[in-house]
Amino acid sequence: MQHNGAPLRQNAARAAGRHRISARIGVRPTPAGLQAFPSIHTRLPSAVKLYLTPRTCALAVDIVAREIGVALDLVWVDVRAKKLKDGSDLHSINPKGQVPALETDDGQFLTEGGVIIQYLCDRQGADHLLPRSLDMERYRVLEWMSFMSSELHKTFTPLFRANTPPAYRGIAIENLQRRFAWLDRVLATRGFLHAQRFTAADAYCFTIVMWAELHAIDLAQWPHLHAYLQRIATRPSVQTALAAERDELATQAAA
Amino acid sequence: MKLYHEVRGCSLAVDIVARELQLPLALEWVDMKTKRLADGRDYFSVNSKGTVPTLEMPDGQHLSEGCIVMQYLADQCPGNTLLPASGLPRYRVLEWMSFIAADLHKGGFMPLFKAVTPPEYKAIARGIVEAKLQWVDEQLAGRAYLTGDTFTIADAHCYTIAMWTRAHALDTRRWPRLEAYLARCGARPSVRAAEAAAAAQGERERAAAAAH
Repeated sequence: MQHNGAPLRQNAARAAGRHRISARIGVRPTPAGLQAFPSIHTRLPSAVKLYLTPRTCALAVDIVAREIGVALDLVWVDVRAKKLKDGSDLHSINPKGQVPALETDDGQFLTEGGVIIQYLCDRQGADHLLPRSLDMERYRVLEWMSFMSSELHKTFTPLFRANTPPAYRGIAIENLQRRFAWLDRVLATRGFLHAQRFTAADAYCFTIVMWAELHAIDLAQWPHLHAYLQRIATRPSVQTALAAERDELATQAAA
Repeated sequence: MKLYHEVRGCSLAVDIVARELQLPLALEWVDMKTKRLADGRDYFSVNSKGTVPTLEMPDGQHLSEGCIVMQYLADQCPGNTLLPASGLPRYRVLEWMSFIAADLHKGGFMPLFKAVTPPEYKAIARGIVEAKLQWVDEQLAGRAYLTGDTFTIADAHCYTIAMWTRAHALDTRRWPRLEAYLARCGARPSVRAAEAAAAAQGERERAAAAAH
């Protein structure tokens, strides 16, 4: 990222006009939209298993896979109970008991969402999402991904835990708001996080920032960030990945 | 190249990696309380997030995020043993880097360092740190370093963060493999030199504070 944004410590101006992005992403994609995926030679086997849970950072992996034409076999797990649907222990897949985890073609498991994304993009030669060559373009995308993981994702984590005291929830929300305001200033002058095109960093950013709606943080107060999220929400990859999550949530509700 | 660094910061891992790679870095110390550099300049002009480390590259561009700076430095040295260039072994190192940055540093230690964190959450964060370190200890069974017999950027990173246990009275002796690992890493010349540079700066800062 270029460090031309105003400092992270300042407050952003509020903007009028607010509506929830989640209302806009409830639309199923048309078949024509699906054909918009880039057609590339697939180097991974046809069914790569991704172990995931709805409303986690695993969504970013699914979005990236759809963008680069990797057909993932989605294996939904209960990350809170640490169980697979057949009752087996999630720790046998990922000893950390987290999602996502990817089963590689030699039967090993790779964990950590940002690393799985690098693995998939590198295997597929998906330079448009993550440049393979070891030049600054790659590190700029990775720099954004690191920010999403360390500064945004991990700031949200206490909000998802039942035992977090209210006083600390308030601190976590303030920390998030400061970072959203900084992102908003960065996005005032660009369409995407890096190089004016959609990259793996945008898939990750969208996934994490959208958790704000689960915690009653109104994203419309940051107009550039809000418009950016709305733009990403219209991508077929995002719509199909979210549709898969909704189907799983409906299955769970019916069970 | 220049490293914007902080005494006791996670930027120590970058300095260790640079020394392992024999890539000389000029160290520029940042006062993270005032976000000022030694010459009075505003650190936000270097990194608008205000975080350390930041690497200033030969063309004057700045790269932030310690994990990525370490990858960048290792990738500048083809044939290095700190980060495999490709294949699953590379992602295994990066998998550890992600865990250390996200779970151990930000999810675990970060709230302990903040004065505003309420005591009841500090207790929860200590529990998180202890569970993560316990897991690291289990993973070290039969291994000298996180991914096997070779010291990698993940070890520079893990050592740096795990040593924060000393600042928070978390006794690591209950995890003998981790304890032995920290001693093994701490004996490396790169680590000793990086820690000596940080200790010398810490002394200068204490002396300057005493003079005021």
